[in-house]
Amino acid sequence: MPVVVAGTRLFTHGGSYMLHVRGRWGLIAAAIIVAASALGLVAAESAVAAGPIASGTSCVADATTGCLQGKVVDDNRNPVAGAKVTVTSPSAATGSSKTAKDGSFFFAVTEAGAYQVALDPSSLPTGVTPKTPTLTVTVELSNITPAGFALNGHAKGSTSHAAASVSFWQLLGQQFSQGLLLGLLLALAAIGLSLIYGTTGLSNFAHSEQITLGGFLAWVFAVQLGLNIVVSAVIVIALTSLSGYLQDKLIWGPLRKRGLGLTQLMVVTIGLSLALEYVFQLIFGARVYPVATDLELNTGPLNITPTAYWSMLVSIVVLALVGLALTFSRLGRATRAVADNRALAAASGIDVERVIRIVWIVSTGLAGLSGVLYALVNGGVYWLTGAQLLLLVFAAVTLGGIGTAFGALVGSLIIGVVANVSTLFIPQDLKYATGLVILIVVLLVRPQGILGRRERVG
Amino acid sequence: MKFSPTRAAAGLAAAAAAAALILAGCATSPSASTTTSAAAAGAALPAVAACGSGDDSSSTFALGSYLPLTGSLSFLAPPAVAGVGAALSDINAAGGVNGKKACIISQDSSDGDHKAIGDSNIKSLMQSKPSAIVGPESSSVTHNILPVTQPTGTIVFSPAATDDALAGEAHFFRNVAPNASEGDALAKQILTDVPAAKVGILVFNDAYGINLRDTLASTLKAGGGSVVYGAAGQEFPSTETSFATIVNNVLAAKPDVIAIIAFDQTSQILPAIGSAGFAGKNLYFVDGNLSDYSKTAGVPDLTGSKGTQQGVDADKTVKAKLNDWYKANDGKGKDLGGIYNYGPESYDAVITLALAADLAKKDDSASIEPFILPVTGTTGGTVCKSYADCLKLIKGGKTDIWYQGPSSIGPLNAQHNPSTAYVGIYEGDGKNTAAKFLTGVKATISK
Repeated sequence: MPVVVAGTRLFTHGGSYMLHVRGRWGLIAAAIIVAASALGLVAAESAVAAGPIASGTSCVADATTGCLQGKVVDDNRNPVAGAKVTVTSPSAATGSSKTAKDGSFFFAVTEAGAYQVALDPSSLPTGVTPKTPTLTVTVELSNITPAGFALNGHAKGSTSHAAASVSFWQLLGQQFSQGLLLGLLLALAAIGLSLIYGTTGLSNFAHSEQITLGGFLAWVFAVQLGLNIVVSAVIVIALTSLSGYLQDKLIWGPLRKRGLGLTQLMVVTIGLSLALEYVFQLIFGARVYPVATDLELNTGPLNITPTAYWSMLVSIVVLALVGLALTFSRLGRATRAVADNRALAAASGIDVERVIRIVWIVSTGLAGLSGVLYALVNGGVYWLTGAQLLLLVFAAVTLGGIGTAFGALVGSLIIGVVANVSTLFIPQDLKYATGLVILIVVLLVRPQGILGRRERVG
Repeated sequence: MKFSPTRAAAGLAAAAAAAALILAGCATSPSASTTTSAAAAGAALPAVAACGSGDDSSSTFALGSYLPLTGSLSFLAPPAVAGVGAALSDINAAGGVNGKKACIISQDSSDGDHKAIGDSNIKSLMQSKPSAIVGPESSSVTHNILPVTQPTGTIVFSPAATDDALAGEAHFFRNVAPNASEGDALAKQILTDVPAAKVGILVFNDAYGINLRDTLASTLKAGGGSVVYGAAGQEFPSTETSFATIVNNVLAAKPDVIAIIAFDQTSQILPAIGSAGFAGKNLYFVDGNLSDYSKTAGVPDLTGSKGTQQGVDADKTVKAKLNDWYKANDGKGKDLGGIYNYGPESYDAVITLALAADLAKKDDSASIEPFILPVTGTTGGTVCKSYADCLKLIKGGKTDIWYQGPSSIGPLNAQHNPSTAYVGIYEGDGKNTAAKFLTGVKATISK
């Protein structure tokens, strides 16, 4: 029986198929010609029926085989097993099969053209009826052709798996909580940027690379060395703080002493930012490095992962501590004094260079923490993670009021929430632009930023 | 696989040169070839030498290699580097091209987001007057460099650029199926698994992504399916690093299945999808992200997920050859890690160009170009399957040869696309989306 022969040949799996093709692929064109003429021959010999139709539980297309395949499912998208499917070829050859447990059926055919695929209603369970019992599909050889049936109704025991509907307000809530999360992580980086600007007047474009550095170091300690994530975070903060200290000691301090203008300094930060990005790429390549490893499900009122809740809590606590320290501690007051009037602060006995160095240490440490948390909640870090956040951080700082720590927090939260909620109304790839539009609007109305003059703290 | 100091080191010269270029804004500086280290081990042939200062297309078959050694596509570089390198080694082992050993000029193409690197490197490559260029892998980068290469008539032969819009570009050839074929195959597989599927598409805003999305969507609609998310205007930026928001949006549209059209962003999309509780078996992947996610964070069980990949699923001997070559040369002891994407295509691109040069009896692009289509079989001829065999035929006086290599494409057509090419469909297992080969779909490319 040619059908059986075809069936056993066509439905061999994996490796043997590959060998089969490999065995003659050098003769592909010849094979096509031979196959075509063979088909013609078969058709000529048996005038009524033509190409064999074989059924099975899978199908591999090749030069002489087309796969006509599909599934039968009820209106709950559950598979319907045992349904009888009959196919009729252009030359009126027929083949039939019952659907497998997963509702699937496969026919391997050797003739291209329009096929009728018919579902036998009597083979269906009670309560299930076909929408269209017969489909007409065009089959090509060396290709797969889907011909599935989505039925009306469902039998007893078929339960719905449909995801619960998400109302507009629920979705708004979800995006709002994502916005809060993003805002809090941005704030950790933004406050540092703002403090550096406040005390030195420098717009540090390399601040974003401190975020990336934090993420990569977290991968090194938490994944590569397998340390506890809390321990890793503490080490990362220490190391990124150290990088801030070294930067100020080796680059920014000496440049300040030489009296370099702010514009030149800013260009140096841009150069440093690019150099660091490519150093990251040199060491780590372009891949995404995971920091967390386990799959966590979204949960709770904000519909975010447990790690995301912890990250928010950590951000809030750290931000509160920084705020309190700025307001009440001796060093905090000194910092604000330097930010207000550097000459006056120096004259009144404050060691300005020491304050600035501490500001660098704290700022880079905070950015490092921000990188750890960002990588944790977003599935990893790659060499441009920080660069992607840089504009948002700058927007947040400017929106809140340049040089004010609390302003940076407020600005970050606004940017984070607006960017995420905006995706409900505008194209996804414009979401970060919305933050910048808000920035322009607010600055037109209030040039000093939201908390600009009123509460100038750092 | 995730962390590769050796690969980082391999990309050192190019990346350092690129960084220096960007920072200093200086003129091009020759970047050292990454294929000069010939530590032959085992049966693998040593890499061919980099072209010297006098070796250009006027006297030597000087192949320009322009592959993404850095950037977001750099994970696809090793198999292509191996394909190009192994082909050149085979060519020189058989006596070289036109009686002289071939040489390689390697430059980093980087990716579409780092146009500055690719632009300066292509100019540097062009100054070396290559016989032809194999690469780039990215469609975006191909669009960027063609205005530079076309005026001089330099052949660009890509083993991996799949954007439909590249068809018919002057002096541009490829031996990989364009996106339309892949989107079509993916849509048919989705409709096989879920009749009248409601599909959510997570697609990034890039020529490759949008092109593939469009063909996927049109075949889905024609087959009774629908796209509930990911239509025009619902792409995410290619530099996005936070995906919970877009995952919320796509799930709110209640899709039956989600197709992810992206590159390595997928490592960050999968945890977000997993956290939202969407089943991994209802995910579909494309050639840009069909890979092993076992070292990625928070990935759901991907058993039963499916994906498509242009190119043939190379047989074991071809895979072993590429792997051994890479390990002995550019890989410096590290193997390809099971990734062979576009390796056979890269190999065939080089062999095809070399044979065309043999037929032309010259090594420059203008002489080579007319012989490329005949070598791929457009006019029939005597079939040969390796460079050595084909070269014997040419030396024996044959002018009509038909090279049939491991990529098993049909002859190139008038648009310089393969007339037929394979798209493989794979099924996932555990966290590896390309664990099991289901079927190869031979796509016929009409134009």
